[in-house]
Amino acid sequence: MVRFLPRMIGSLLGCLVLMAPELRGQELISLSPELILSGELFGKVAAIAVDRQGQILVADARAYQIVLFDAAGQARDTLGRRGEGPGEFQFPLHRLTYLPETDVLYALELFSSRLHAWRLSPEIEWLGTRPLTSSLTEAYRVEAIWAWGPDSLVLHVVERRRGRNAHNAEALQWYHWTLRQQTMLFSLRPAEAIRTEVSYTTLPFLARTLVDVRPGRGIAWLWSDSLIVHIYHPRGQRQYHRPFRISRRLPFTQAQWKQAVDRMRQLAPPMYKSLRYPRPQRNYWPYTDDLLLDDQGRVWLRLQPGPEATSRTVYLVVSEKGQRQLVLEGMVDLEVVQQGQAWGIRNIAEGIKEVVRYRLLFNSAEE
Amino acid sequence: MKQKFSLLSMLTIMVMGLLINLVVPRVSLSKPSILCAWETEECASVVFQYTDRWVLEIRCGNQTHLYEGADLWSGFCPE
Repeated sequence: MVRFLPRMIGSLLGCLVLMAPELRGQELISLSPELILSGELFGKVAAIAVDRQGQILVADARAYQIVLFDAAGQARDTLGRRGEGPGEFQFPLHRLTYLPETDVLYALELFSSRLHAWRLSPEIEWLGTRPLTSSLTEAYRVEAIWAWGPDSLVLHVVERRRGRNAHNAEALQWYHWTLRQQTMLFSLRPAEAIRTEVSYTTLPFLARTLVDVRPGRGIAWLWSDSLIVHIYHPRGQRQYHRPFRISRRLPFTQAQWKQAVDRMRQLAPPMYKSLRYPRPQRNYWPYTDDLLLDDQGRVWLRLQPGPEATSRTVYLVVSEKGQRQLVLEGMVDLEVVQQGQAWGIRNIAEGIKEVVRYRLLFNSAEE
Repeated sequence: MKQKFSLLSMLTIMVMGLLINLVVPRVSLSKPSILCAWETEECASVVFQYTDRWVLEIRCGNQTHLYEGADLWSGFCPE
């Protein structure tokens, strides 16, 4: 026992050293929703946007429509429907983005990269539908959209190249709505993937570039395996960095990797059920898998803390003055943070998602 | 004179061939058709059929799974 005492004391001190920076100066805040739009109202919530009056627009991927709720949570109208025509959706909805200056809502379809636009006031008016890719293909895809200016958006574009050793290309591009033109903004580091001769897989724990865009605040991006968020202002062509701290890093175990492989085999078509997937070299807990830039210039990072099943979501909120942790009940994907409120999508059961709104207990004046 | 003519016609044929090759797409590999698309609780899937291969794309939240094979898709199409 005495022989092991120095080793035990050493381990204890080691744990304290590891935990101290995580605890020091990191305020922990728990939030509960002030408004819930029940999951029973939707087939499958895919994305949300919030307009300048606080109305909530919910993209329902299964119902092929966007539902407009007032700020109190009452359904007021719907936009779009399933179909091939103008303003109709061929594929499930994937993303929404809204520009308050013009009161215009944009919606992006999954698979087809078709972009639709509506002006929300004085009456809801469909403005047009634009294909963002020249042909329907899996090789070139618009993954995300952000409204930027009265006639412009930022697109996150991924070009997939075939074969085991081929590397994808990822970039941010400007899109001019009226001219229907895409121009290069800058390239991004492509996501890590598990590749075989016949398959390509990206998983949440593999490193990727996370991006968020907020007009007036800039374009933020983060290589999910790093600890520095880059923020770029295209107008002033200024760039700055916002570092953050994660004090513990735990490697993935073989059991966790096996779990990921089982999941891939479950989804694979019958002829590929026994594929052998190469294990990626670098994987750690915690990892970041969501990035948001709020209207105060704060960066919000969702942390996946560890392999243990948890019923909480942790966001790290990083500002110039420090960082704090926000804890939300359930598995929440925050989509919009502005004017002291945060809106997100919460998983409540397998396949059922609800929309939640939180009132933030801190604002810029408190920081 | 006869030799000159045949050389000229050969050259013309070669140039025409090159031009046709540039203008007309050889095989329509770049435009697949959608064979089927379906959704499950967590994922959305689509099968692209090209002239000589198929691609199955499955999207589950921020995960992407792509599988491809030669010739025609012989797997499941729920619709």
